[in-house]
Amino acid sequence: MSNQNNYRFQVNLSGMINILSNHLYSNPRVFLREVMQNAVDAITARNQLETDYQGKVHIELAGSGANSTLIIEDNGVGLTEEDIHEFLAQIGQSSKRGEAAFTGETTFIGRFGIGLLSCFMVSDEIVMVTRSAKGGPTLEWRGQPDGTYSIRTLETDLSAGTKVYLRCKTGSEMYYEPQELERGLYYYGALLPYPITFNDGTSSKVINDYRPVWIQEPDLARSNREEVLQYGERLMGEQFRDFIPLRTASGRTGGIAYVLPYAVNLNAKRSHQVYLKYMLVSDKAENILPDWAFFVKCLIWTDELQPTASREHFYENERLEEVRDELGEAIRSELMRMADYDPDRLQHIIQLHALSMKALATEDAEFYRIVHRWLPFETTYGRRTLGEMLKEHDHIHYTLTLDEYRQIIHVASAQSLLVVNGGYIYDAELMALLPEVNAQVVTERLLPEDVSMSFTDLTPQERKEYYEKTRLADMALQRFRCQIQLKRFKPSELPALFTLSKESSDLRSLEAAKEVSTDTLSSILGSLGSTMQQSAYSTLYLNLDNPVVGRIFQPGSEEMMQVAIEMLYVNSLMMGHYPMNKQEMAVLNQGILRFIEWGLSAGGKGDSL
Amino acid sequence: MSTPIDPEILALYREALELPDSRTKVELLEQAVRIADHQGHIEAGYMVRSELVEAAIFSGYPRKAMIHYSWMLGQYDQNPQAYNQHNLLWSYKWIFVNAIDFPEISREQLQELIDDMRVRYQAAGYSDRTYYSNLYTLHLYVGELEQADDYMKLVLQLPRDQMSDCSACEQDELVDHYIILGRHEEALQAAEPILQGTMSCTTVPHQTIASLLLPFYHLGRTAEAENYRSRNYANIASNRDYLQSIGEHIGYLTHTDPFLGLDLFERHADWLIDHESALEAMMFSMHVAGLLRRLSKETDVHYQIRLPMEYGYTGDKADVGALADYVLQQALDTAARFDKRNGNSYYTDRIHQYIRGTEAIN
Repeated sequence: MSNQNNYRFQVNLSGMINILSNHLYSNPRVFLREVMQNAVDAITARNQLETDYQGKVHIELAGSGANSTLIIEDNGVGLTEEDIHEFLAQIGQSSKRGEAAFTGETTFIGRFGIGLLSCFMVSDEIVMVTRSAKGGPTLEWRGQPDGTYSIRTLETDLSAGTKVYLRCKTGSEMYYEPQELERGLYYYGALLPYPITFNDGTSSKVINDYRPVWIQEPDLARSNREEVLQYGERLMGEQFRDFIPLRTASGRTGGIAYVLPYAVNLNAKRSHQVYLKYMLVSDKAENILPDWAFFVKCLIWTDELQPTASREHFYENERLEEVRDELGEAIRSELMRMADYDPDRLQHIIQLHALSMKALATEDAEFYRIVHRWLPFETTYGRRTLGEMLKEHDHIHYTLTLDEYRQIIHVASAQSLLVVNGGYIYDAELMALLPEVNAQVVTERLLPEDVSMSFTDLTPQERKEYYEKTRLADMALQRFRCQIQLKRFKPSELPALFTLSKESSDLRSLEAAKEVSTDTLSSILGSLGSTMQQSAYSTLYLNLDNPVVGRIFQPGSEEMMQVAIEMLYVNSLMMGHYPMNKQEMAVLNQGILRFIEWGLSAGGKGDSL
Repeated sequence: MSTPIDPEILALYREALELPDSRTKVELLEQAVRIADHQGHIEAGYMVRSELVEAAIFSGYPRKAMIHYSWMLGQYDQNPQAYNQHNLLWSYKWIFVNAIDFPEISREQLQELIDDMRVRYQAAGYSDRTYYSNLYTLHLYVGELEQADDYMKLVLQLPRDQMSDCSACEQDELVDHYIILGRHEEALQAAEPILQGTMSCTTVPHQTIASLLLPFYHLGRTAEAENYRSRNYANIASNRDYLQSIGEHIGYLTHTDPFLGLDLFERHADWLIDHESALEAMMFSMHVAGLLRRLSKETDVHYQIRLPMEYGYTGDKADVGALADYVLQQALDTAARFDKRNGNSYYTDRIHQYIRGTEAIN
């Protein structure tokens, strides 16, 4: 031990400030948050010493433009010389000592040292005049961005508290604009429970003149609807029309979840405005609500969560998890309550935010049971809610994929078959889960080939009559692993329905890839393809009710049979946007030429097939 | 120079980018690819496929990923200046690792694939670390555990480079390694930075935590397992890429709450119907078979197992024992295919050993 010498390594302060302003803080405006936070922390500390004490913060702007000086004054606990050395001189030191400041619960939001440093982003010198409530002289501290500071004792005795003077740095004029300052002060301090006054050099006003009762008791928000909506607009700049009050069981976290008046997509940034001890810490907190709750934007106040160093997130810990679950539960139970007492309002929310509701419903069967009848789906009858569907059907078909839905939509619509497009996110899952929450209904996944079940079969007489021709047609497409089925179905304008299994669709892509890929991968694709062959088939249903198909199957058309069938096949591929392989392209080209030839040799009379 | 991309392709592409990894995302991109191919627009086809390959890998469609990656690599070789080499080589790792999951791909083909990958990495100036790391994965999953161990040690000695997996993924592989070797204490120790949340990525900690549930249980640390279980489940429940992880939940619940395990099986059985990874499906079935064996010992319960029609089990849904046999046979059939490819009896033995382990439960 005796040989041990302790040294201190030098930190380049201007470099640190650069890092802070460019990386830690999202923008220089946050200096205002930091000085406010210091003031709030000082008031909190004094409150612990004197119970009948009323805190206040006064902000004054002197001069204008490049000559502006900003003075931030609080009547908080103030600092002794010892405090100054300890808190201001050591970066990372908080006003509460030791580990607890970083991990556990602290009474103070700020980390004094770092907080004040952010002022160097807008001022070349920081002057602080302070006097401790515990007594002692009035002190003046001057800090420079190179990391040096001086302290002197002032003759005059001020009352306890702290004043910070910031002089506008060249290029920072915009941060000293009175409107900008007023807006910022309101933004950060609107919910503070003691007056924040601002004097712009001509007149003085209280920034947070009105503090609603429902901040303490979120449930009271219900009876102050207009006020809550206006408050939301003022703080978040958006016009909301609906909201849900939030409150955890302990009462330590509360808030208002404003329902977004427009639809948002799943990957939209969730940015909630969060107040810690009534001081804004973040306007883009993402992780404070469950993932499914992306249809609301929240004002949240809490005294139990720990912000990260940038103050823009909260530490992912057990506490946050509990709070998140409880806030989620508050939203969920309000939605469930609406289902009973205010169904129109719920319906309105679902119309706008179906995706969010579906996300929750897939996770939560009870919620799904309550709201299922209002959830909308795309169906062969158009956009329908489950409730509308259930009025007329107790058996609902759905496809698993968009592709399968597109294959059958024309035929299914023509046959008045109700099919839900399960290809959109959550929809197939919800369809599969539906019987669990509503025992009256059966749901069944529909494969494209299942639609053909409702097709009219040929009569035994017709079957015999068309037997040879059907075989001929089938042979024409064998090399494409496609089989022919001759049926009658609606709509008669549709000559053919082409269906292919998922494997078949994958096999088509696989073969296309094999044509262009490297030897190694082509060989691997060959192996993958070999196990797909058996299940990979496609079917071309030909509609005997269609006049053209009818004529192809008339006696005397044998000569064009093969080409006509091949053309119907490639035509189906094109209609379905299926890329054609080399063989299919060749068929198309030859087919066109053959038809031109036939057309010309028929004398160009335009006699259709 | 290049022709503009069809607005319909762009619309599908943008719609897909707004979605999390999911079947819907994969399908939208497939549709965009189809239109691009239909129009013969190779650059559009390449652009959409690079998203498609990633979405397919992370949504549980490894076969689709391999198909479309093969196309990209072919196009790249024909016109290397036109495309981003780094991204293409990065995805190659996914393709190789996922190829191991298909028993129809032979050892020779896997070797050729990894050799091709190595040549391309070397030519681009990347070190052999990724090559060895993938060799490690190969040996681990074909059941050559000693060789895997050797390669793991080699990898840890080499400096990381731009092609290395993220540190969270590497740590997860290490955890996996210890679990497969049955070294549970070491697995939990290695998992510490992941459990603490200091290491994470797209799939970590989700797959790590799922794989640790049984080790936690075997070490008598059930309270910790319970602490992670439900939250972890919520994170994996909607992505079929986590089929094996759901299986691991079922394996754990077999011991602690078999009826909840049954609930999970019923909920996720439909993932099996057209799941592309034979390996994941096999591991899932193994855990389910163990669970059903366990449930068949409850003589006073009248079962009515809920399964989708396409699942393929046509027997009596009240007879859990028969269903257990069916599911076990599914797993063993796949295991036989893997063992044939791998030239050993590793997976068959592992499944039998696992089932014996669950028989011991009272």
